[in-house]
Amino acid sequence: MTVTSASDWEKPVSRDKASHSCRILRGRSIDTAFLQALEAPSFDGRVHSVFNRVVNIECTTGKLFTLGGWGLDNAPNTAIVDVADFQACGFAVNTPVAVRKRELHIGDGVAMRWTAASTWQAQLPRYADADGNLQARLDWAQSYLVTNGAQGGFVGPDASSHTFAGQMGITLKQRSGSLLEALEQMHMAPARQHAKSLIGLGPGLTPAGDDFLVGLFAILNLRDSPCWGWLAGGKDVLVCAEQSTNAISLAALTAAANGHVRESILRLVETLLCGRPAALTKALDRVLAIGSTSGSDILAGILSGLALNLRVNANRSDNLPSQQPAVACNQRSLPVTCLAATVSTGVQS
Amino acid sequence: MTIKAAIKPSTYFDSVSLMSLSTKANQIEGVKQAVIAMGTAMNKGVLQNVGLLTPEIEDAGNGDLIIVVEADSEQRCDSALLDIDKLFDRGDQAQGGSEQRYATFESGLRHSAAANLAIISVPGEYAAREARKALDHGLNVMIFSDNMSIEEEVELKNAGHAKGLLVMGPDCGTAILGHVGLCFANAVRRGNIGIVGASGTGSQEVSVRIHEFGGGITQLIGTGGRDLSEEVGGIMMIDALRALNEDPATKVIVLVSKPPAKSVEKKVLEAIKSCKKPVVVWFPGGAEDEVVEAGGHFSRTSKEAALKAVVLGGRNEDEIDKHALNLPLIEEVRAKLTQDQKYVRALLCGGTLCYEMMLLAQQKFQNVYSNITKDADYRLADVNVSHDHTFLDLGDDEFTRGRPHPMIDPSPRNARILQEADDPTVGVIVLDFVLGFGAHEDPVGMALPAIVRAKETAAKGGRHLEILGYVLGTDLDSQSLQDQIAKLEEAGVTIASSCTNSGLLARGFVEKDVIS
Repeated sequence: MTVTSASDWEKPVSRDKASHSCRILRGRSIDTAFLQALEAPSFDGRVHSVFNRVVNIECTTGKLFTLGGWGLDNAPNTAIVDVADFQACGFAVNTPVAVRKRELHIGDGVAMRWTAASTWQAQLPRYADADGNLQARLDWAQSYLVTNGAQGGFVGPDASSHTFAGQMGITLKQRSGSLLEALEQMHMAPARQHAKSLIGLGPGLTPAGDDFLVGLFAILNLRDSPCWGWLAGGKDVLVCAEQSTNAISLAALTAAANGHVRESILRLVETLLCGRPAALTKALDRVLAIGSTSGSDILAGILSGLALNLRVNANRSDNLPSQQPAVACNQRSLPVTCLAATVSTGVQS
Repeated sequence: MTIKAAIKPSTYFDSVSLMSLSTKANQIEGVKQAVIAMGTAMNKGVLQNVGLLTPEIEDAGNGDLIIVVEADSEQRCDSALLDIDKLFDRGDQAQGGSEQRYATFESGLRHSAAANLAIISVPGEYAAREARKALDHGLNVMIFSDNMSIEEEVELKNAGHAKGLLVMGPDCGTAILGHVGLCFANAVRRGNIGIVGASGTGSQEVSVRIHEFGGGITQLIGTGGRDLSEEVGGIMMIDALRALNEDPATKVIVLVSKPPAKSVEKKVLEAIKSCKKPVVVWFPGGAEDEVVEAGGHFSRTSKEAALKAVVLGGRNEDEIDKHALNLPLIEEVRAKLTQDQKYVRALLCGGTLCYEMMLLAQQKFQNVYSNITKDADYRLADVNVSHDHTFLDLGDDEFTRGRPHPMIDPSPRNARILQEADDPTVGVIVLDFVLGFGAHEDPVGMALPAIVRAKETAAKGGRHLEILGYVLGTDLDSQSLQDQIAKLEEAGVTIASSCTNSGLLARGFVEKDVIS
């Protein structure tokens, strides 16, 4: 990523009347899908939600795009800009957003310029890159998650089932367990139902169940993996998902189902497959730092997905010739261009 | 039990705020449980399973925030919902999370009802008054101000003890509470180790080494530098030790302090005896026997303290890169120095970093001078003039009276670097660079011109001047640790991997007539 400025704000540019009093946010890096959308004949919408380090923009097609503050990692449909705190920009929900003269104008006072930004695209590694130490790294990462993960979603001791928090922990573990069991047995229809039962379940802006699925979907999109394309990489599960969770979380799920996840998640998956032990701790920390419990729940999904691959591989060796679920076979026949055409959002919170 | 609910339509809070709000809501008096979550069908299902689903919640949508309270009476429920509303309205909202400035303590409090900690940073003579107000309002206190009288400190700490509140300080510059770094602190991962520190940079150093060794922190509680004095009696350290002993997330406790008063050390060690968790003690220069007798784990250096804590916390020692001392490097540097270049000059921003390096030098040399040594014979008469081996804490009062700390204003240190470089008896200049919250954005960059000029000055005199740099920081700090180190290396500075190694390397570089 190219660092273009040490300050939050460029000086106002007085090129024309419209931008005379406009503060310019400089884009540092931008996801290619967001770039394509900005450079399309028209792009307009509204501010969907504002957080300290993130602003989500909903364009008129209903798709969400994100402006992330510096220090955040690259992500699908996201531009990282030279801003530490979006609150200082005075953005308000429903402020109109439109592209004018290659600048993304948010209301009348602020615009984002992306011309000097470096481009970024999520690309998952191939499962074939995994070396012989995957199981050992998974074991280590699992114990790291138990020790260092944020409690509240998939991590934490079993509490009383009479409280909401206790019941939630139990439900999350039961449903994810059922999903993984069904996948291992290649019972895709029940697996789909179990996965759907996780959407919208749990604490946080992006519910813990959604975060778990983001991690799992990333793994189901790993090329050459035994589970590649199962549940269509997750897209099968997303039918009617807009009725089950909020727009921000749905955007992240949709992106993950298309194999598009945040840079920190990509790095972690790469490191789990073939990285050095020292790099693994750093990669785990980056993911665990996402949100409150989100990072821990995403990590739980990633580790479950990779462990599933190992088990399925082992089962296949035991039960040759291999069995493949019908859905997976169909999905594998999809051309790459078809997958690319369904690129969607990966909005951060 | 009564259940009441409220909905905030189309309201998005980031996850960290939501979890924080939920935790605080569950602490409201009389509340059996409080739930704050998105109004998805699945969450409503779980609410139904535990008997918390109310008719109004059934109508909530995926983008709505739901709040459910279970309490022992309708009145309690109503009052809790009002309190939760205040939490939303007064400073915990994602959209309102930026810095707010208030003219008075009272006005800040009015607008931040959810706050449970006040950081006091006002001129010393007013600090006690503000701290008292905070305690009266049930807030924990971190007093960054110094120059408070010891009587006031004792009074405040006793008041805090009676109320079960922390009184960190005065002159407390480092804490990490609930994974939030306060004043000066480094970004370290979460883990199972709690630190109680009477010295700021000492605590930072231990937390950073713990992070590097693969461990993590639950809480880092500062006490203020005088807490372990005879007069204060370690009130805060003992309270914090007990708090961490009761904290379920903390599995190992580390105590950090410059040598305490003997009677206070005894009290602290007594408190360790009743701890059910392993306690690592790093009181530089302290006695091992007494710590071991109390059931504690004694450490000679900050690095050893961190390593012991991490291993006690469950990490396999064999998997840890301990950065063994680079003996060939010592030989290499010795060969570059002339016989006259006998002395170390350590120009440090961190007080405890200075103290640890000074102790390591004292193990080899007698003529070690400092502005912070307790030995009057080796205390610098004039802090502006170095003698033999000199270890300067440039953050000490003599240097900071009326001017900013060297972590913020590097100019006095830069001048001193040039002064030391002029001295042909100097073999090594040691510099520390502290990263993290509150620290300078580019501490190395501010010192580089002086470093380059110092090396040029020595070279003109036909000497090699060894500059040893230590960057106290983690890969998670906002300043790039990697970039800071790269800049130093580019300027010909030798990098030490820890405070302990800095001290060992510096003394090794200037040891003469050593047969290896």
